Parts: sequence; C-alpha cells; structure tokens
Amino acid sequence: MERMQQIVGRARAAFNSGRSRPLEFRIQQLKALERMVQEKEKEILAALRADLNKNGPNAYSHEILGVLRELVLAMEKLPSWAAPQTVKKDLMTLRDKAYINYEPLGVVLVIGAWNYPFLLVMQPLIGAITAGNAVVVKPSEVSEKTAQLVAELLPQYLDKDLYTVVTGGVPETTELLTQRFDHILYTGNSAVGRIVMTAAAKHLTPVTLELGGKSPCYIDRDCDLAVACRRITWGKYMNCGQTCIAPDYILCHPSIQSKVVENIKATLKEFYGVDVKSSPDYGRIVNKRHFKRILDLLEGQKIALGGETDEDSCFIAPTILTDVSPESKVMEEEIFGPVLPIVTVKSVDEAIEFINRREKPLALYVFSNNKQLIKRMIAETSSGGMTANDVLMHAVVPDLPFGGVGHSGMGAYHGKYTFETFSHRRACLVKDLKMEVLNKLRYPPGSMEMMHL
Amino acid sequence: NPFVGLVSHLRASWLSGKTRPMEYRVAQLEALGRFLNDKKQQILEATASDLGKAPFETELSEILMCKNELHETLNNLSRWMKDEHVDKTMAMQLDSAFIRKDPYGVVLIIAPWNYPIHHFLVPLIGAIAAGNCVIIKPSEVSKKTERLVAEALPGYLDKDCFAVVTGGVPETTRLLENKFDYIFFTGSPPVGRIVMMAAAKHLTPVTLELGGKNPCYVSDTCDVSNVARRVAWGRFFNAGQTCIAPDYLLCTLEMQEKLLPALRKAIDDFYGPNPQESLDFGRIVNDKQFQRVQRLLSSGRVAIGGQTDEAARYIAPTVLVDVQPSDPIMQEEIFGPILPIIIIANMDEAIDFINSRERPLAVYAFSSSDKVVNQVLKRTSSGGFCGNDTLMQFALTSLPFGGIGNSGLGMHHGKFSFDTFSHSRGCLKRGMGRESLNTPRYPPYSQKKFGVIRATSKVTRKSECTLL
Repeated sequence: MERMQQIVGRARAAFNSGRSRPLEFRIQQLKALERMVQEKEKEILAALRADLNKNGPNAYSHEILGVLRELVLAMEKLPSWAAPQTVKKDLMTLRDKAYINYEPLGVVLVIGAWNYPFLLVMQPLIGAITAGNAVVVKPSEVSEKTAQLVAELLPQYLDKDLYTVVTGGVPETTELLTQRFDHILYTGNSAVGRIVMTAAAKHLTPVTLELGGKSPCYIDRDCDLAVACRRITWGKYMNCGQTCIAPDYILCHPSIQSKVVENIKATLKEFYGVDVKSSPDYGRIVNKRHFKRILDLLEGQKIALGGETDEDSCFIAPTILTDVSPESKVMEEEIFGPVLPIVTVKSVDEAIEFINRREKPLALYVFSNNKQLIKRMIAETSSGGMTANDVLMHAVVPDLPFGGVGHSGMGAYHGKYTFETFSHRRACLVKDLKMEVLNKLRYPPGSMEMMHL
Repeated sequence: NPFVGLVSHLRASWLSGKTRPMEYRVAQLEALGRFLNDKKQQILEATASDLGKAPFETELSEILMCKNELHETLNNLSRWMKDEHVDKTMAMQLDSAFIRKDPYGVVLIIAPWNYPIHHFLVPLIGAIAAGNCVIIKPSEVSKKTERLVAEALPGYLDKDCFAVVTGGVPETTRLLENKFDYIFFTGSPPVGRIVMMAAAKHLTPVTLELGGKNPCYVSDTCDVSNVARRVAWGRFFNAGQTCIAPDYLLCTLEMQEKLLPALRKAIDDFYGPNPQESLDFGRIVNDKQFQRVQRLLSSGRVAIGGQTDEAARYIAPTVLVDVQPSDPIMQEEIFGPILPIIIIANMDEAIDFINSRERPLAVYAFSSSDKVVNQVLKRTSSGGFCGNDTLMQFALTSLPFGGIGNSGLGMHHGKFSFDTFSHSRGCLKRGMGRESLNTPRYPPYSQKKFGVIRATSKVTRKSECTLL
C-alpha cells in the first residue's frame, strides 16, 4: 500500500511541478520514446516472441509499426491538438473571448493487456504524455517478458518521476486501484472492467474501458466467398485468435456453411502450410490456463476442421465448428482463441435479431455485395466499431475512434482521441470588466425587457 | 424490482427502432418546446412554491435557457446526425471511413432540485436528439415541480419511449439496480459516487455534473462597483443555490475594504433595503437545507446581511469577513446566499489556495489586467472558467459544461449533449475487389511483404526528408 502511495505521490508531485505542461517538454519525451522503440527493436521483438510466439515481421507490423505511427502523429499534431479552440459566440458574448482550453488531467493510470502487450501500453501512454499528464503504466503480468522489458526501458528514456511502470499481478493492481488517479484507461475483460470502474467510482475518476465480447461476422450469400473467407481467416487466426476485435463467430445461411469451411481450409493451407504447428507465423496460446479454457469450449462440438492441440507448447490448431447451438458454451463467452464457430441463420433479419439479443460487441463484421444490406446491418445493430467486407481494419484508420459500447467498453482512443481522452476540455469565457451597461439588463429588480433580447 | 417492467417496456420500444428517425426526434423535441410554452405559468408557480424563485430568474434559467438549447439542437440536428467522414491512409483511398453516431438505448437522467426544470430538460434534449429512450427522475425535494413534471410531461412525449419516475432515495436506489445504457446525474459528489458504483455493475457509462467550492479571486486592480455587481448577481441568484455560483471570494484586505460598500450597494440596488420583501430574491428549498446553511453563518463575522427567518426559509444576502480556511463554511459547498471573504496577500497566494483544494466546477477571476486573469486561468484547474464575470460561461451553448475531479466527469450543453448521449462508432466500408492489395498482410510473413505494408500505411514526419 505504501509503495503504491509513494509511486503515485511522486507522480503527482512531478505533475504539480508543471514540467509536463510545456509542449516542448512533451515532444521531447515523445522523441525519447521514438528513440527507445528504434534502438530497442530487437529486445522488444524478442520479448513478444517469448510471450506469444509472435514472429518478426508479424510482431513488427502489429505492435511496433503502430506505435511509431502514433508517435509521429502525436509529435506532428500536438500543437494543433493542444491549441485553444475558439467557439461560436452569441449576442451577449460578442465582445468576449470564448474558447475551449485543452488541459492535462493530472496523474493517469494505463493498465495494459497481454495480447498485444507492447502496443496496448504504448498507444495510451503516448496519448497521455501528449496531453501533458503524469502516467503510471501497469503492463499485464501475463505477458511477463514484455512487462519486464517495459519496466526496464521506460525509465532509461523518460522522465522517471512523471512516468512510472508498476509490475505485478492481481494484488499489486488491486492496491494500485485504491490510489486516486485522474483517469484510468483499462484494456481487458468485462469482469475486471467492472472492478476497475467500481474502484474508480470511489474517487470519481473517469475511465476508459477497452473490453471485449463476441464480435459477430455475418456472411451474406451474395458475396465473393473466397475473398471473404480469406480476410476472415487472416483476422481470426492472427495472434492465434487472441485479438479483441477478431471475428469471434460466423453467422451464415446453412447452404453456404460447408463452402465457408472449405474456403477457410484452403486459405489456412496458403497461410500456414500443411503443418500449421511448424509454421513460424502461427502463434501460441499465451498460457496453460487459457489453453484449458479454450479446449473446454470444444466439448460436444462438431469439429469440421482442426481440433488438434498440444498442451506443452500451448498449441491449438486453427479450428472450425459447424452447426453450433447458440446456447452452447462456446457461444457464451469471448473465445479469444483459434476456434471459429459457425451458427446458421436463415436470413439477415434473423442475423440482426441474433446479434441484438446479445451484449453489444466490440466489433461487427458483414460481408456482402449488397450495399443496402450493409447499410441495414450498421443501422439496426450497435457495436464499438465495424468493418464491412473485411475484418479488423477499422481499428487502423488513424482518425476513427476505437472503443466499445455496452459490455464491450466505454470511451475511445487512438490518435487524436487518445489526446482528448486524457485531456480536460475547460470552457473559458473572458469578459471585459467594463461594458456594464449590457449586464444591467440581467440584474434585479427583474426586468422583462431582458426576456425579449 | 418495481421498475423492471418500465425499463423493459422502454427497452422493447428502443429495439423497435422508433426513436431513430430524425422526424421522430424532431417531433418529440418540438413537443418539449410546447411543454415549455403551455406550462410556463405552472412552471413559474411550481418553482416559486419550491424555491421562492423570482419569475425573472425562472424565465431566464428554466425557460429561456432551455429554449435556447432546444432551438440550437433543432437547428443543427440533421448536421449532428450525419456520418462524419474521416481522412484515410493511402491504402484505403477507395474505402469509406466514417463515424456513425449511434444512440445508446435506454438512458436515465437524474435531476437535482435547484433548477428543477432546467437540469432534466437540457440533458433530455440531448438524449432525445441522439435517438434514445429516456427515464427522467426529477428531484423529490422540489416537490411541486416534481408533481408538475410527472403529471404534465408524459402528455407531450411518446409514452412508450419516455417516462417520468418519482420518489426519494429508496426509489432511486431501486431504479439504479436496473441496467441502463447511459446515466446522466446532476447532484452532489457523494451521491455521484453511489451512482457511478451502481453504473459500474452494468458497465454503464455516466456523466456526473457535481459541484464544489467555486473560488472567486478579485485582484487589486479592478472596477470595484462592476465586480461587486457581477459577483453579487452570481452569488445571490436563486438564493445561492447554483452549482456554479461563486462560493467564496479571495482578495487582499485592501480590496475587501473597497468591496464591502460596493457589495452593500449592489445588494441594495438588486433587492432593496429589506431583501425579504423583494420579489426577486429566492428562498432555501427546505428545512434541512435551511438549517445546514444557517449553521454556516457562525463562521467569521457578518459584515452584510445575516438575518434569517426560519418559517419562511429566508436567509438574507450575506457577506462574511474574518473567515479562516478551517471554518465550517470553508469545508463544504455553501449552496446558499452567503459569501465568505478570505484574505490573501497576492495573486500567487490566491492561486496556491485554490490549488490546495479539490478542483471546482468553476474558477472566477476579476481584474482589469488581462495578464492576471490569464495567470489565474493558466495556473488553476476547474470544470470551467470565467474572467470578469460569474455564471456566464454556462449560458453559451457552444461551450461544454462539465466538471473535473470532484466536480464531475463528462460534459453537456449544445452539441456536447448530443455527443454525450451518442456512441461514436468507427465504421469502415471496403469493397471485395482488389484482393491482391491485401496480399502483403497475409502469412507467410516476410520482410519484403512487410516493406510494402510499411510503405503504404506509414505516416512520415513532414519535417524529415527521406531519400529513397
């Protein structure tokens, strides 16, 4: 308890010193982070391989490239993001200065997740620094090597008091959450999301919760099935299915179910070869606990493809389940693994109804040549974000906010939205001390002439 | 749970999609406008009964300001509802990337008693504009207004999508056990915590408009009589029961000596020699609040006012001097017509004093010097800020209204209300063709493929020059 108090206290004192506020300072810290990523690329990639069996180009493009892009964007845009925003004035305020000032919140907490362990602490950290805050970073202990590396590296490049890394598991995080922060950004699951928000409520701390859910993927009969299945295969089995916006399950007409399986099978061969286990590009489940959890979901299911596992290496082959019942276990929780259930539906109406009966997902996917159908899907469902005719890609459009809704989360970030998440928009009105004439109209004794202004 | 039926009914209406078309939202908003027009007299009477509100104040804060928000919303709704298209990377030039504003679903608005119409109606405008179904929970403390809203409002709005729930703490607690898709709460920080904890159980996002002690710094260089008028107006409006009222004043002893006569004059100009007889000065809402505020009069020394009348729940416009930071009046938000003055030596001390306390909903600074005003603005943190006046930052619909830290989270007013009650959904529509362009992203991974990805998706620093 004392240790956490000290860490947060130091960060608060550092923030109160005011040194994180000048734009030059923030850019300097961002430049240092850029240097860190460039100089320690090898170490970062090694940690990602150790934690998740992510290989070079894959890890680079999914975790490092994204971080470098955010850094460049932040350094470029900071002056415009941080500039006061003048607002439209009315008759009463014509002669005044009215604007919105973007101000740092203070000391913020970033809790990362294990599936993209580097990206998910760095991206929020970048935005928090850009917005002028002090930051406490708590990487996921499940991705141990990356957590250790981040804890070693950040103090070597950044201001040690303003930006701290706290490592540890549930007990340490629980302790940390008793401290007072000015914003908490948490990436993880809904159950812990509730715990974070409850802890935050005690201090009236605003939160951004990037959670998960079961992201549905509807495949229309009218679509280029080969292309659709290719894209779905890519998004589903990337990082061994451990992606919060992976297509979790498929909804399609029974008549195309077997074709879907065939197409995915062919694509898998193309991507990972005949022996998936020996492909350097296919990941592993992060640990035995999750391995067992996913294995459990296969019980009683019709395995159309895959199903092979190896506990020692936490390997689960790309798997497809067909004719899955909506009430089965695999349809209850977010799979977060390389298991793809197909639930058949007779029409898009049924699909929409099915989706709406369940918790709002983080992402929603629809494949169709029919533009009207796509419009309907978007208009009649709710999700954090969505992509039509592809998967995952809405998350890489730099100017789209990335976040959930309902059980999949609240708030959003990425790019400018991270800056806004970690800023307070302060309404500022500066009037003249003279010009009292106008004011007289509002003073008592009550005047009805004022009403007609 | 007594509200399960109601919430499910609204949720079913929500799922039917009827609140989504613009025409529907406009119709409901226009009905709200009619409510304000038709029931104006009843609103004046109810707020006069509940709070002794001057008709002028009611017209201004409860009717005119609501109408401004309504008109602003109706004027801009179609633009706000449109998909917001965004810039794309080189690889996505032929795609469509936009932000869709989705309603949340069934939202709950909990309103306080001090501006009992305004504080539910303004968020309600935003919630309807954003396409939601709404349950409104007006405050049971402003009894007559609660009854008016419960009886009259449903007649104007679609009963399947909008409902008013009445009751006190037990009813609100049970209401909060239900799942809502958004909760908008205006009230005190302790209750704000309770609301947020209840919301956390369902992962419901919230906006909390809370309060605090809004400091008002008056520098030595200023037009004393203008300052006195503007401060007195802000402090004594609605008998001090305003979340953004200047709560306490910070100035030098010198300035205090100049301000006191000016404040005396302002109060006299506004309310006459006996404010209890003025039709323009309000009353404390109930006995509990009256006793609470009355107790605060024992801090320091009464320099102006100080008279009370328990039966009428009247507390005179009062200024206290010789107040110490440790006095009771400096420990809680006053929410009454008392202005304590705290003496500081200079601006730096004032800023330090402000920064040593919880961040308030508003910071006020008065000075003829722009520099001083800007210094106070720059070196403090608060929900909002107003230089050389009080309350007015609230009236401009283009400015967001919200707190920070203990004074709240989230914001509303104008477009910010619409945004608060909307989920900004990131959408990307791609075509199924040009699949060959996707090849670099697929396994088997290679450095060469990676080079292509990097080239088509990277963002370069404009200041750097890369020689290929």
